[in-house]
Amino acid sequence: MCLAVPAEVKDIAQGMAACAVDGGQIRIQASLVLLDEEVAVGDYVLIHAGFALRRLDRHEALETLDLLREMARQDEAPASW
Amino acid sequence: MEKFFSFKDPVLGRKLLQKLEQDLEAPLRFMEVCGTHTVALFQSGLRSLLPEGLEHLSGPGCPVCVTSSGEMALCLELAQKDDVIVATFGDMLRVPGPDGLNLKEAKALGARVEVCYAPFDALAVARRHPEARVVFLGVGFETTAPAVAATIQQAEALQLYNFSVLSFHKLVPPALRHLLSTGKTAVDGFLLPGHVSTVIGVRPYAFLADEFQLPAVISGFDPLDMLMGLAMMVRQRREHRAAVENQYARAVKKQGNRKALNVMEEVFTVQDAEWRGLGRIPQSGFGLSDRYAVFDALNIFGLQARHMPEPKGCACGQVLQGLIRPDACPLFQKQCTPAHPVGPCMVSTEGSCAAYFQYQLCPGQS
Ligand code: SF4
Repeated sequence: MCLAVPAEVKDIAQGMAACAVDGGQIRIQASLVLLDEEVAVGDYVLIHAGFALRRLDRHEALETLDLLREMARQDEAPASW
Repeated sequence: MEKFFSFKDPVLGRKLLQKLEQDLEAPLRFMEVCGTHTVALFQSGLRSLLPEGLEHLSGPGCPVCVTSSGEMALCLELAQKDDVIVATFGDMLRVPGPDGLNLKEAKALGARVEVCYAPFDALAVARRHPEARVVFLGVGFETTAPAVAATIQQAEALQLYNFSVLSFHKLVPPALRHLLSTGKTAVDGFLLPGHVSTVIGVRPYAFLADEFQLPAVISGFDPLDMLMGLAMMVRQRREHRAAVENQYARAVKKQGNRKALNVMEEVFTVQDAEWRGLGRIPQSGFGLSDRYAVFDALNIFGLQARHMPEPKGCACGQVLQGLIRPDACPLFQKQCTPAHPVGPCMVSTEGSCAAYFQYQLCPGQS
């Protein structure tokens, strides 16, 4: 029930964002009143029950991916020395 | 979807799984407390790929499942009133009340029940039916509560006084504390719910590490997210550390979502709540604050929350506490199936019992 979907903001008018989910196949409207940050067209937001709850952070996503690769890498090079 | 928001690379996943297996020095039991995790772990196939020594439990993470019999009784009582329209998320339709009746059946018998995708939809119902009193069933954790709070504020702005909310919202951190305090649930760490944390942030979980010395990781819902979350907990165990870590930083800020927290704080007040199977947990739910009392269905209809017995034979309580697996319930797959659910854990697709049923876990396999 706490499912929230990431969606791309396509248009913003009067505190509502028109968003595209799944590469644009599904369009949904989300209220922006609960956001504590600015969003712009092209941003990705997490939507739950008709409200955007967070703008997804590209920088953090890349950092997590780096960490992930690093965690996975450790066993590629077994202690050879 | 931009590729850096998608954590699904199977090659990386396999490597991480190997790493996790390597790091696992002794058997560990983790618990997730989010229905979305429950389903995602099954759906991605991850659950069956986890190393043998890593047991994974589903705790009280499905808001539908933890809605108590007594709370359902109040919903059904309201649905019986001629001038009331009950507006609800679809998941609630089939949750059995104390005498087995659910909202869907009540509807078939003439009650007015409207299914909403978002709480805003209930405002539209109230506008369409000025002659009726529209009651929205407020269920859900901290992820959903802000949406309902904002809807109540909107109702006020629109002066829609035929709209009200029956608030049974519940809070995750007090339930975790309760689980640990009873001493019955034995776990080595918690995979914490990503979207609840988007709202509340990291700090409310600090007691897990500080008081109970348990590793805990806030995790997202893609396979690599969950795998990384589990690997981070295994690593903490190995390093004899206990900390609350955030794997889902792209969606969870340390401080949470201030705006959502403020709206929630203004509209709701924290109070004791009755959880299905877990009983009364102090300060674990949201009622409406005095300021918004005109939108409080309990207040408007003079209802009293009360304790009601659970369906006979249903072991949801034990399932929700991680004491038994769903297939250990004597009714599982026999009297209780998704088509004919006895307990709420079989109703919601996110319930542990329904997930077990759907993904057909053979008895005896973990
Ligand atoms: S199988 Fe059905 S009766 Fe048994 S615990 Fe699950 S929901 Fe309750």
